[in-house]
Amino acid sequence: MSGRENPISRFVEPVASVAAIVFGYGLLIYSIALTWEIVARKLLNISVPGLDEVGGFMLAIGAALGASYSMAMRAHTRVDVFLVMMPIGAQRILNALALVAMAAFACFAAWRGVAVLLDTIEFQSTSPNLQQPLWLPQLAWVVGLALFAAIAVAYAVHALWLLSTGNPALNRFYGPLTVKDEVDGELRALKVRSEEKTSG
Amino acid sequence: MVSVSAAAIGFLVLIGLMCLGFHVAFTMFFVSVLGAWLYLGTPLLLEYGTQNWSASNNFVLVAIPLFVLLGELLVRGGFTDRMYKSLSDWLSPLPGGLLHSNIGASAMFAAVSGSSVATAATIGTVALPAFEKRGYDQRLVLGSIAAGATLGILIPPSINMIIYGAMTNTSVGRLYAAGVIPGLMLTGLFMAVIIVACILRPSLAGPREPSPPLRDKLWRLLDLFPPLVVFAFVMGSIYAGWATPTESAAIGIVIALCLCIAYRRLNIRMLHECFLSTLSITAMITLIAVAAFYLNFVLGIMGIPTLLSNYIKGIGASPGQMILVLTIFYLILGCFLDALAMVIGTIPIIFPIVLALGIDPVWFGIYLVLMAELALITPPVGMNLYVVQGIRREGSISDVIVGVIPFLFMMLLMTAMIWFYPQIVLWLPKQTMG
Repeated sequence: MSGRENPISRFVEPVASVAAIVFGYGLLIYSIALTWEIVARKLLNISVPGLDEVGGFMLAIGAALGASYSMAMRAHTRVDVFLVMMPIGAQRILNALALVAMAAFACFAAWRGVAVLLDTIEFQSTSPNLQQPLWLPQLAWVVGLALFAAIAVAYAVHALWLLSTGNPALNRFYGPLTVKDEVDGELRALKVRSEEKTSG
Repeated sequence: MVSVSAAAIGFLVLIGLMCLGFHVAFTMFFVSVLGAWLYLGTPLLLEYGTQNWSASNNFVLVAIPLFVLLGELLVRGGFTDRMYKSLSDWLSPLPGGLLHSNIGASAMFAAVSGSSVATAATIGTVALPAFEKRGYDQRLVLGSIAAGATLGILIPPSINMIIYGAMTNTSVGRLYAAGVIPGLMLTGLFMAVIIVACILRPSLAGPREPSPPLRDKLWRLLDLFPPLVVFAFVMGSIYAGWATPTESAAIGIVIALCLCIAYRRLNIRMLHECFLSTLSITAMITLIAVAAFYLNFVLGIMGIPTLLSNYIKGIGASPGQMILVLTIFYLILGCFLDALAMVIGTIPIIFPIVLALGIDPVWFGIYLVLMAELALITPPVGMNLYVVQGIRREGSISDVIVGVIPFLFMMLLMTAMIWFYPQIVLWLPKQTMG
């Protein structure tokens, strides 16, 4: 995996993987529920309102929590063509800056997320279709945003530390995922599959 | 009041920061913040939270994780390998032989997958070993895989269309319908270019091989069943008016799950691999999408859309000229930007202009997908080129780059065709959805 050597990713990845798997099962169950709703709506004339809202909440919470996982996997898109042409020293500075910028973005998002949650609690807002209190899904969403902010800050501090101590690992840990890394990722996935096929 | 030159500077800052290696999501966020702060004041800056919440619990975008998961299930379920073999039975007699299977299998896999990179990796892994020691021209083999795989985002379902639809309030169902005919035509054009090349220079293709017995061929047709069933249910449910595109993705997942169980391909490890990759891709796309929605929102309040469309009207550009300029612009941008980031990042600025010129939003969505397809195979940053080269693990990337050139011209031809005959795009959505 891309982040195995990075000490912070080594810590984040297993935890975030659990979140990813929970999200995945959530998606499966949601798909089954949605399919059942469509069939029931068409054939039995029974309508279960609000499933669309549940899906929206799942996406918001999943994406907020998943942002940390993508960060550990270095999956957030960056453009690397020009970066790899620059001298190593410039790459080090830009990589550290990119991480600091991401941390600032994540913190801002978490801060504004908390403000949304506080408004919801103050006005006791409910969701438009289900008429359920909005604070619950928003709390989970804010927790996701806050975790992402904390992790992004940890990465930024680590990157700055590596920059100031002249540690050469900086570009390896925090450079954009090279095309080769991405291709290797795709191929690993395919390899796992073919192994399973031959063994099963 | 903001001026056209200020808007242009903002756009250059956006592209410039991306090129310096800042995260794409951050650059969009940063430019929005800059605009909001300079022209609109703090209250709008603080609106970010509300914008973030409403963008990320958008039901249209829920289709993204669902379609990603659907594609993952089918790839990791191993349905594509056998599909390739079966298609080659029927397509090999054409001049160009096995090369047509690359295009055909890509088109078919595209019909269940929303991603071109996944299509390239899957088809490449299955196809490349099949060509070993068969005497085909390497470059044409590589080019046909890299280019064929771009069909993944044109033939529905398509992640690019979902995001375009959500950002511009265009019906995703209509976009899906609109992609079908251009997708099939482009498949045809790709095959035609192979046929012409192999008739002109028969040495490009390997020697004709005896056709397998009809019995085997018919038997193997069953391998086409899984992808066709998924496609039929996903698209059928949309056009029958039973399901929205998001709901159709859920139906697709249920069908794919049943198929995985029926073919004994389902196990916990495979399922978890699917989940990990689904979340990683979903979070990455959603972060960019949320930033882009905020950019859209800020630019809207700043009056940039009106400003730019008045400006374009002022210089008297015709829609045709605009599309020509945009095509050159996207060709250049696509050389160094990620295809999806390119589309999302330019929608807030380009879409209002296009709308003001009276260009149909559904048509423009398909046009943008074609531009994204081109971006996937133009060096230096054409993901598909690298994926195919990565699977090959020998020789030089320039073989792949030379190999895609004929297909690149076909894509440009397709773009010209939909411009001169917009009905290619607009006919099917009108027929199916009124």
